[in-house]
Amino acid sequence: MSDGPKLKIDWIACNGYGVCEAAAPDLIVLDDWGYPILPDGVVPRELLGQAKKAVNDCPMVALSWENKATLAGGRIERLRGRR
Amino acid sequence: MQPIERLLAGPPLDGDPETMSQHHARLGGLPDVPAAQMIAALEATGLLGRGGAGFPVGRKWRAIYEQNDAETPVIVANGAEGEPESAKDRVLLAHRPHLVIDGAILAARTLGADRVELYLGREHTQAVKAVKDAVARRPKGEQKLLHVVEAPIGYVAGESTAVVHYVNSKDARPMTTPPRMSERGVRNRPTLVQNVESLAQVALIARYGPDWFKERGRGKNRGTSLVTIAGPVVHEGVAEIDLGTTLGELVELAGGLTSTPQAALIGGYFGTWAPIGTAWDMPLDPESLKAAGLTFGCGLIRLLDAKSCGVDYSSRIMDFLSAGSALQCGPCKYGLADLAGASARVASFGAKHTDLYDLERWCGLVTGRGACRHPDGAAQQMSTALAVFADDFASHADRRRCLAASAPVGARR
Repeated sequence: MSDGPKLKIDWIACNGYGVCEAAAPDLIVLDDWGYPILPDGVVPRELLGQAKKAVNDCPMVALSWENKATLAGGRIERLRGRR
Repeated sequence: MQPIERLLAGPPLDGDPETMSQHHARLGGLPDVPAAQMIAALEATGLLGRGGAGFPVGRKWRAIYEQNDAETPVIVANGAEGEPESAKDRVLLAHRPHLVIDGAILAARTLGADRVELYLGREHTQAVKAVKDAVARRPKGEQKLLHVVEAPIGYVAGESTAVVHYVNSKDARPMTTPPRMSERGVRNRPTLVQNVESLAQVALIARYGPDWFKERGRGKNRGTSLVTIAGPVVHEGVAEIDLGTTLGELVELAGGLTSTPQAALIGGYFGTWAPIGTAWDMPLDPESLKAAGLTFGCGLIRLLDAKSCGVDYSSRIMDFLSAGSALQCGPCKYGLADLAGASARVASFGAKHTDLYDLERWCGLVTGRGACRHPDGAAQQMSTALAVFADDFASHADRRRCLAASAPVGARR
């Protein structure tokens, strides 16, 4: 699944608000200091909705897609357009 | 074992910087090497960058060379050397400034750059003076390219994105990548950030060719390297060795031991600890060290005396690296501070019962979670210390006793 949709964190932008964990509890856990842990960033298909919400909800715009182009059929792009 | 003299050939290191005329008499002028040939030569040598990360120099140059329709590149010669116990870059700059400048000019000519930033640690006053004096002696055409930048004091100020950040906006904190520096660095132009020793090697390769370069060295990594040896040896300081020279031979070159070592920190404060039994016959080259789970890093070898406390030493390094964080990324800002706090408690016999467990866990937790590799390096030093000094960490935490120290309990801090 290494070529599936992947999330990345801009560590300088991230302030550890934890909004992403609230949005994607099955995908993201927080470390001892409140910063998100994304083991390899790969998002399983069934959690795309949560991941999308986490990306959109981050107040620091620190969470983003690493490989937008490879997202299945531009699904995420469509979701974003609908917002 | 005889000292190797390539980078350090020429006038003695306890004297003045090599002058332009001495440099010319010894090595001749700057050769005119076509760009494609220069890059092919660098690739043929297998030269790895000497700033710490060990990225192949030829590949780095080619990445910039082959960018089509890109803007005019910029060269940054990185001589910040924020590593406190390493001295090889400052010694090279202070004594062979023209060799480094030659390498930087060759980079500019090869890559078509119109600007060379000589990025120096402002605390290395001898190096700064030697380079400024040397620039003033260069031909007028070169002087127009060369700009001396005095970097602020700080461990991460030498990190390549921090270097570019400082040159651009006087802020020596690392930046998020991408964009890669090779694509958009100084003034948004493609930028080659290259360690000063690497550039000095280039100056010799341009003159004598890759086959000459590969005559030295023992293992897969060819050539010579500058290293800094510190600890219980007769002559602490900078030496030039064949890559693949063993630690034992380096100690001999440094005049032998003055007391019995128990362990070695190899690669720098972001490097790796090894017990002396493992380290002694270890070939000092990136490939061999990597195979043994160690790192060549910036070429620092710090021996730790059998009577010195490894728990205390590694804890002090942790404290230094935590203080050296740019405080931009959460896991680095808070994680390194917690690692420093917990290791200091253990070292001073005041460990909480969770400290050893947390030290191990936090090392894993900060790794790979920052804009730069500062937390990774700090965790690497700590986690190898936890392994090499495992008994002593346990003794400090559980029995409130130091195994190494002859000093009484509580007297070490």
